[in-house]
Amino acid sequence: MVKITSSDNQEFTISKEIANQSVLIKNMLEDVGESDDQPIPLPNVSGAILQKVIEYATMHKDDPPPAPEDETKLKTSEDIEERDKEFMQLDQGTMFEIILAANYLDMKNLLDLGCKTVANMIKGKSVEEVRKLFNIVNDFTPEEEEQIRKENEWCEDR
Amino acid sequence: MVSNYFVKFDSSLTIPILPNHSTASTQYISNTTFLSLPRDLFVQLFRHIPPQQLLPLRRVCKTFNTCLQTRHFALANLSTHINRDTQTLQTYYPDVFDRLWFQLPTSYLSHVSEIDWAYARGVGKDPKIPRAIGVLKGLQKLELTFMDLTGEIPVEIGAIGGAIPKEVGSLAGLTSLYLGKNQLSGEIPGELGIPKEFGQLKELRELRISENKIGGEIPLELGSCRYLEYAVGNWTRLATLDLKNNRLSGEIPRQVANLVSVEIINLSGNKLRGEIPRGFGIQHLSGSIPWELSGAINLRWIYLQNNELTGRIPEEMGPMRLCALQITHNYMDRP
Repeated sequence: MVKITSSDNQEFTISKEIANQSVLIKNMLEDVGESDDQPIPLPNVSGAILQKVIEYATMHKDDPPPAPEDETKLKTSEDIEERDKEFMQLDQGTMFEIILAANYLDMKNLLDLGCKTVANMIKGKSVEEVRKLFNIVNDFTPEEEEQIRKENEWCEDR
Repeated sequence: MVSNYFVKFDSSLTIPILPNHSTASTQYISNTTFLSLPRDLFVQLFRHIPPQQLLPLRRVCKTFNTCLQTRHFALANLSTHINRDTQTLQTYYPDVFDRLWFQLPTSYLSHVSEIDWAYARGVGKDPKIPRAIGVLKGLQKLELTFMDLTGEIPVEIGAIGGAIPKEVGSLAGLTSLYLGKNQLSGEIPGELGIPKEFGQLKELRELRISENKIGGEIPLELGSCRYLEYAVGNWTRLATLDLKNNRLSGEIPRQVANLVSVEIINLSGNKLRGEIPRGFGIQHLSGSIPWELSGAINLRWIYLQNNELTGRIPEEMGPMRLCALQITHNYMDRP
């Protein structure tokens, strides 16, 4: 078993096969050796998020290792497993923090899942809808925006 | 069926530094907002959205606009959406490119170094070379062989029936241009055929345009393509001159001299006139001969059949170590 602690000092004990899904933790374990009983500190991830990440890793612990030729197949953002879709039904803030955690922990599959989920939220939305979705303030002057609109004539809705 | 489709990028990509951008508070439990994500994660995320859907979102805010115009994004996005996977490929074929790909921001395209559309037949009807090809400032190789291209090469290539526009000459970094087995027409030289601006393609090493309908005369300006090794050029490094099965007429320019490296000359199936040049294999210049290949000591194969050549086979060809000389179906005198 492996012990890890979150930024807010919550300690989690996880099996090695779950821990190894994070390349970061895997490398750390290889560095410190098996016998070390010290928990691994993960100062960039909060307990709440770490909980979710462990949930994901547990769900996928029996996955076969991806074949290299699956690389292209995974790229389609529509191609998300049903259980993963359910897992990502979260508020935006949590979703972004999971993406950040997956990036930090070097968990490619989870990072991909998070990015695809957000990409799917953006797909098919208008400029105004995306601003609203992410609470983004339009910081262009009307002239600047018009200029981009002009450059984008080929792809903007006619 | 789609099999040959290949877009390559140069590898000198830098991760863009974008301005940090924070927005007001959100109503979510977590303070993390979309715009607070690191920029390289934006790229990871945006790569999953096809460019024609994503590029309109440049207007969302300055951060979006900046990110969507970086090379880093373009690489990730293009490599996700343009690959050999048939599924994602089809919408990216040349006819669609005209509307889509080549109208993307210049920054998105400027690092594309290689395009291979060879044998990409049956994809879209009347495939044409995309208009905005001229923005591909980093292009080093453009492979369009056997595509059944129709229409004209757009002047934007810097700009396949039709003529090769002089703007090709503006692709200063181009090293290979394969246009064989298409329906190209027009004349050599001038703006209607192989344009004399080809001479500005200082880096061009290969030019394959055999089996088209190109007419006119061979432009002397090609002589200034110093590195040309395959086709017509200044000539000292040229190993193969292959212009077969076009509609070339007139005489081969006498400046086709000093072909010290040439091994193969194939001008068959054209309408070339005049006499077989004297001076093969020896240092010999004469004002009266239509063309000459003095110093072509490595010449082994000459194909001149199916033209309108007259006169005699020059005596000077005797000492050459030719492997093949094809001159049938001309109007030559018997020796």
